[in-house]
Amino acid sequence: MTQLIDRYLLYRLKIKRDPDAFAKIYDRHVESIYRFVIIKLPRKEDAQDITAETFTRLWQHLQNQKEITNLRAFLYQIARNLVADFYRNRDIVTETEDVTFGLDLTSNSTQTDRGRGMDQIEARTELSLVLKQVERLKDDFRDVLALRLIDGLKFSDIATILGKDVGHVRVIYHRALKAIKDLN
Amino acid sequence: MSYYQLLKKIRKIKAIVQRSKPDPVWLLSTRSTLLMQVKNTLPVEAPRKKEVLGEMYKFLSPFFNFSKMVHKPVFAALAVIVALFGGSLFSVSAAEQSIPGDFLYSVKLATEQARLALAKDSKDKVKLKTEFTERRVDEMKKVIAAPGANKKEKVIQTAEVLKRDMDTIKQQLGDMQSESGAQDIKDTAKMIDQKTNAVVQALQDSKLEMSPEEKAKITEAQEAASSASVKAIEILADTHKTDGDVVSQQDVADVLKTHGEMVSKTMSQSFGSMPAIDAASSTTLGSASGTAMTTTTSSNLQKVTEAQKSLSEVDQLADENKMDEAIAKLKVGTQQAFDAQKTLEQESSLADDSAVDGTVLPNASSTEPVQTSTTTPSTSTSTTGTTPVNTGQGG
Repeated sequence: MTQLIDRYLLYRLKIKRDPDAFAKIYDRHVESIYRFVIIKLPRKEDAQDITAETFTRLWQHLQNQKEITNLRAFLYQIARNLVADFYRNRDIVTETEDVTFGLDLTSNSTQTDRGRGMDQIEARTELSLVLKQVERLKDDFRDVLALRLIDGLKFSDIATILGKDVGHVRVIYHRALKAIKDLN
Repeated sequence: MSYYQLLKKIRKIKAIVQRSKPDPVWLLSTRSTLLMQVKNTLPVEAPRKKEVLGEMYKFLSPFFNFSKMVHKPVFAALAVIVALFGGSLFSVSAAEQSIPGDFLYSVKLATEQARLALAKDSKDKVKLKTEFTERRVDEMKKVIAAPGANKKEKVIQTAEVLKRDMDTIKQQLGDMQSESGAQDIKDTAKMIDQKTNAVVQALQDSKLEMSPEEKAKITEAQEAASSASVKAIEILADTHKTDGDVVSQQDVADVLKTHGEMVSKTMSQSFGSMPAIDAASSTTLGSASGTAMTTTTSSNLQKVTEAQKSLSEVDQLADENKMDEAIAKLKVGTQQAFDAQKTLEQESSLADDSAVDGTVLPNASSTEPVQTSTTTPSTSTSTTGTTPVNTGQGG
């Protein structure tokens, strides 16, 4: 059903030239893409930039009349590549990350935002612990585990993001779980 | 960190990530920026037809995927349906060509019953049944023509089915009389008379090279057909009484004559085609059973003569507009004619048996009893219902 709505919106956008269809696509996916990248990036601003860049890339892709079969997975794929590019282009991780990550320093910040920022710091700490634990696993195993367990994606979406077969992704996932058990 | 601790931590991370929400202000500002960018770069010209079709396909492709997902069970279900219904259609069409003894013959009979059950009124039922009797005759011809081990059983089976059909027609004619109008009755009765006469004639032709047992069965079927025909004539005569405008005297007279002629013709063919019976009966004169046999033959020939007389009277009575009497005579004549045929066939059977047993004694005066027997009935025509000649012949 989700895919059907996405297809309809893409159809509206490309054939009916309806810009609101793009706005609806944005509304539907922006939060999940933001959550997907925020855990992987040091600062909230980076997450915002990459999220915005993800949609800009989507629009460019659509302008080139390229086909999209699974919009949701396609957006995750772009975001994932942008995160990889982000780390590839940054030689040194800035010292400010711990300070600014998750902390909303804008003028209208509230106590809730502050609490949320604390949550995110905790999440990143936990994630670093988990990543340390599973760093000996293969890259494929780590990717599938993260996309499945943290981002909660469907196997079909993960397969599209990683460019693999759905059955293969399932196998990788179960092998990764077994590998975690074997680590201890 | 144990496995479960690890999963617990992952769940915790997931919960935190799920809780995190982007800044609403940033969301709105990014939205408006993107929307402006899209509006500025959105093509103005209408999309080409090819593009429209392509996008339509992409939009609808989930349905194709859905169909892909379900196509296996759907095809399986279709296969079952085709096997059940398509198969039965093929079976029925194949059954149409079947003959008695075939595996699908019962299907053919069942199909006929179904068609009868679906007929809207008694008139249609009678017409259908008549059509089916013609099929039986065709089957009989096919069975006779086809080589096969159980030919005799098949012929007997066909004859029995035909007889049953004829009895049904007779019964249905009674139903039709009370339900249908005069014109319908006239048309149907005439049609039945015509068709049944044709059936009797066709069966007569097929009897030529039959065993006595088969002949007996076919004669029974002929008798049933003739009886159905007489019933049709009776109904026609009844309708003439009630509705003389529709069914004229001439109509009834015509069918009466036709039927009489048919019976006479059948009878003469039966007796004419069997010279062997005379010879056979004459050759057994010297045997122990010879006397009785000859007696029976003469009695039989007497029946033939009586039948012929009755049938000739039918014409006369019909011309005089004495329809009831004419029909009564026709019934009597038909009955006598078929009785004579049956007796003749029984005698033929006995003669064949005795010939096989080797009890036939050569006799020089083989034609003499025939002469005697053929002349005897002519003397006894005035005393119908008795057999005075038998004693004379027996002595």
